[in-house]
Amino acid sequence: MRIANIVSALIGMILSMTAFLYTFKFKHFKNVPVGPEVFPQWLAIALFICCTILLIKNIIEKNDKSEAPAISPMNKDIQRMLIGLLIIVLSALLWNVTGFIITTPFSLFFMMRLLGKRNTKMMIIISIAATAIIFCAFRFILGIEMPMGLLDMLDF
Amino acid sequence: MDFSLMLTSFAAVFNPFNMLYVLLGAFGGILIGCIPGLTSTMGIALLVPFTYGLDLLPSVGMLLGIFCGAMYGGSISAILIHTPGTPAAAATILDGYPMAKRGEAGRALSVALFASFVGGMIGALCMTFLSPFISKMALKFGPAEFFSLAVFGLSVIVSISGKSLLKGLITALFGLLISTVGMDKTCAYLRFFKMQGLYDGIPFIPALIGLFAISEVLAGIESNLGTQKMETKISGVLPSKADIKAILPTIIKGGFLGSFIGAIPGAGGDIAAFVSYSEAKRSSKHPEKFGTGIPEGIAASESANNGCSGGAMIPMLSLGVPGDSNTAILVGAFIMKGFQPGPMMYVEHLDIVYQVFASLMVANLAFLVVGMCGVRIFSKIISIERKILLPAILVLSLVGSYAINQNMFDVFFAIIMGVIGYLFQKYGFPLSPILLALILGPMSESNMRRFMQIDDGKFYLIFTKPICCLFLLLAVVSMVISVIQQNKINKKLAE
Repeated sequence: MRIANIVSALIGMILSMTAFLYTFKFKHFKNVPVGPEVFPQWLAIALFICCTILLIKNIIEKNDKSEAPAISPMNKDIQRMLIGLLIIVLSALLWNVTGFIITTPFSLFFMMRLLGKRNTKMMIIISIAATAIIFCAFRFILGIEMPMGLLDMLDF
Repeated sequence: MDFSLMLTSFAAVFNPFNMLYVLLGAFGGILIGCIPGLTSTMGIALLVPFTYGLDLLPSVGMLLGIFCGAMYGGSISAILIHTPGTPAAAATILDGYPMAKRGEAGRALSVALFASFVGGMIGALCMTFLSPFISKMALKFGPAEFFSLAVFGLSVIVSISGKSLLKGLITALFGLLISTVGMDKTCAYLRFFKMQGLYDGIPFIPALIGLFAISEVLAGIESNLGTQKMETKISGVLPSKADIKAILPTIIKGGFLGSFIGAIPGAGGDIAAFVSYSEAKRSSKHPEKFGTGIPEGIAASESANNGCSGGAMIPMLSLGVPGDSNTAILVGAFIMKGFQPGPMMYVEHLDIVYQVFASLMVANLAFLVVGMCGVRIFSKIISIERKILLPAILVLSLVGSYAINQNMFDVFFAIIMGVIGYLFQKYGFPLSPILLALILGPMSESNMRRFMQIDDGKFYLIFTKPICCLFLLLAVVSMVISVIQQNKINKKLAE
């Protein structure tokens, strides 16, 4: 976990430093005691200090032998998670193109498959039924305009 | 206080016709509350057109039913699927979800229901008997007082940081930093990103859904427990006598805290729940058990956020100032019926005021009834195979993120926050401080700047205001005690 903490601290330091430097681009307002840049600057400094403490603490403390969770793309569990993330991103992207009604049953089906479900008939039924229930609840009961994509001509 | 008028007004509310509407409202509220992304505000706004044809009493009763039902409903998804249905239920996750994972979902749900009911009733009673006094106090709140309240709220971060205070602080500062993104409320200047979706700041509900629901789905896919089911035992729809005995002091304290915080315009159930949770942990004999799944944790947050509903009605009725977005819509409903909430309402329509008090009590009773009927059904959700449950949670989360503003930007934002939440959890950074920071960050910044503008940039003047001094002192005391307590817990765990 020591290395993971060091990496996290470094990322936090880079992020806070970037935010701090970026605030100098902000417009300066006259007659305003606290401008829009002040709060982000304080917070960026505080974040930088906390991350530095985390970094130093983990460099000095060498007794921490606990193992950090793996995040390597070679790890099978991580690969599965990445495929899951890809399905999530693709379905969100396709909502605007093919629409919620067409996209969602496929994403549900593939997600179940990824998680190890093998009963194809059951998976098809669940995917279609869940999509229909969610669509009807949001569209007809709550009156929310769902992304229709290709089915935009259908006047729901 | 005119007790005979109060009794006749209460009698008018407790009739079957009104109660049916309140019950319907509570049922709808619970459904809306337990779906991530749908808030009580949305529920009330959706229902207002349906109350056009009704008299004032059933329509206000129905709207209050939704308000109170949604407040409780948020805890259901927080406990069962690690996603607060409403922001006010965010603190319920801390102990609710660990209990569900342990197979005690039924017990957690019944504790949440009981605490919500008692907290809500305390709020309603506070509203009935203390509204003139509390509203006077709420009127004294200016930008400096709000800033101090926000600082006090932020001090809670120490007690919800878990094992590592430093990591809790880092996530809180990260949350505070991202809360400054978007249009600055004082100078109308766009900070960091000039993207349309971020003009109004970080979209809060998608952030909440991403951090808790999507991150949980990603972690679930990685751990591949697809064939696993979470079993749950249900011994009753209400907590056992032993549980009630253990949680009652926490509930009473939480109810009063929630009522007081709710009465301050702009401070809602989310702040109240975290403050109450922190206070319960601080005063507990076994603070090390908080966060591991104990009923007191759920009771503290649920009693406070439901107590808030009564509290929020106080400034609305007595001053005409809505305490939050829910009461803002309720003001609209009153005006629609020809009544203007405010000080004159206590003079001209005292009977209506009493009827509203009674309706709030009925609304609390209504969600208790619906909740009792639903505990067994709700807890079945967790018994669904995870390879079916996870994809369903995912789609619901994406739709929930989309529904709030009906745009795709929020969906992608939720996914990004999901990945951040997944990484944070994986490396031991607690998520709740980010949420608290997103709630309190804009409140603290805008009020501090407003206060500095009014007082010509002299910050030290904050120490001349008694309410500010009280909150700042409370913040320091709460932080010091929590740090000492956490050190003791860490030592105990190390031994």
